[in-house]
Amino acid sequence: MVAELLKQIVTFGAAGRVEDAVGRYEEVLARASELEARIRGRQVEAKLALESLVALKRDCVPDLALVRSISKHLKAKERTFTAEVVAEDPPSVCVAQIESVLGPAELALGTARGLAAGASTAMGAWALAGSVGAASTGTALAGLSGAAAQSATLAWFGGGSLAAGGLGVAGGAAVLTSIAAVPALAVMATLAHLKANDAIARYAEETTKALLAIDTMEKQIVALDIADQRARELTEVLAKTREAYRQQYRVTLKRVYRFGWLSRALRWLRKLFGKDYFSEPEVAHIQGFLKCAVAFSKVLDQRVFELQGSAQEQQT
Amino acid sequence: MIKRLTVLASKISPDDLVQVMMALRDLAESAVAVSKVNAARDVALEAIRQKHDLYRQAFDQLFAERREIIQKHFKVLDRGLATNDQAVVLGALQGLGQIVAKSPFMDLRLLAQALESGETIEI
Repeated sequence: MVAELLKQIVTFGAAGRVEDAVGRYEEVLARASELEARIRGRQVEAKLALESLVALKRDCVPDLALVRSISKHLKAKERTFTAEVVAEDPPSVCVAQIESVLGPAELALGTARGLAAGASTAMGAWALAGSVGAASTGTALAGLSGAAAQSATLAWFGGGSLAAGGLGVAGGAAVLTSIAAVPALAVMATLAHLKANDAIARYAEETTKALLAIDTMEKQIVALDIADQRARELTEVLAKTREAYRQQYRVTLKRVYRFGWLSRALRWLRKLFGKDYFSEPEVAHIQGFLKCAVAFSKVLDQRVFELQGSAQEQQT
Repeated sequence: MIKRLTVLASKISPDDLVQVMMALRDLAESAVAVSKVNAARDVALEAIRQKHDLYRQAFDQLFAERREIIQKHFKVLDRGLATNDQAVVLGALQGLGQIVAKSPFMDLRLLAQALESGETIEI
């Protein structure tokens, strides 16, 4: 308390102004630390949502492949429609589509991790660089007390310690002595506040840099939030469309193979005698089912991250 | 007070007085520079806050709208499945495909571009 009072008296209140600037700077750093923690939390959530989506997509691939069990019996003319709307080899195409989803997703997630780490490292550097207005020992002026505070304050007047290229405590004392001849109080106060202004200005600049980092981190959080919500949305829609697709598959199967193996045997016999495997109304129904399969495959093909609007790109 | 200042002035040499005046001028200039930096910081802080508030508002609304439309399609789909109406099921599936085909990241990109260009954005 006494040391604090002494420091304020010796520096004519300038130390207090520097401390205020340090306080504002530290508030910004604390905000950045909070954001960093939020980013880590959001990464975990987004990762879970993405993993859930990927697992569902993997499960959907064999479902989509069921189309083959019906489409393989369609004639070339009837398959023309099939070929147009469903890839010739649905499973491999779907796997490739999933890979094309996983690739950018992992890339974006990796980028998100990298960016968070970068921001973290950058924040660490700023915290270490917070040496403006500190005693040459690296201890913040505000953190010193008693004689140490007085020495540090005197060294501050002398432009820092001898080791740091300043005049040291003796230099500070000499400055004080030399200016004592003129209207001492006014000049000392002026000098103290000039130095304080200089330190405050540097702190303010560092604070501005920290704010820019906060802007980047906020943007990262927005991107992660979108990725998370997008993954959840796709999971929900894919699960629902899968349910509808499977139901349509069961209905179609029941319609064309009403009596199970007997129906299949009868159809083979029809084919053996040169007739169509499926009747015209059945083909029409199958084509309706295939349209549902196409719609399902389109949902399955959706990516969380678009290459032109990916999380990675948001950060560049 | 005037008397004291007169006495003080008589004790100060002209050179000292000039030094004091110059020091005071430096102090004033320095204070102005500090206030400018502080103002810049405050402006930056406010800009960051406003920008990310806008992003959050825009995307909360965007996802809320998407959710609403998706739920409507789910209802139609459920109806189609319950009545085994292939056309209704197909319509709902295609509608859902169209909704999810529109990436919110593209919206983020467009919003960021609009913000940078200084366009007026209505939410």
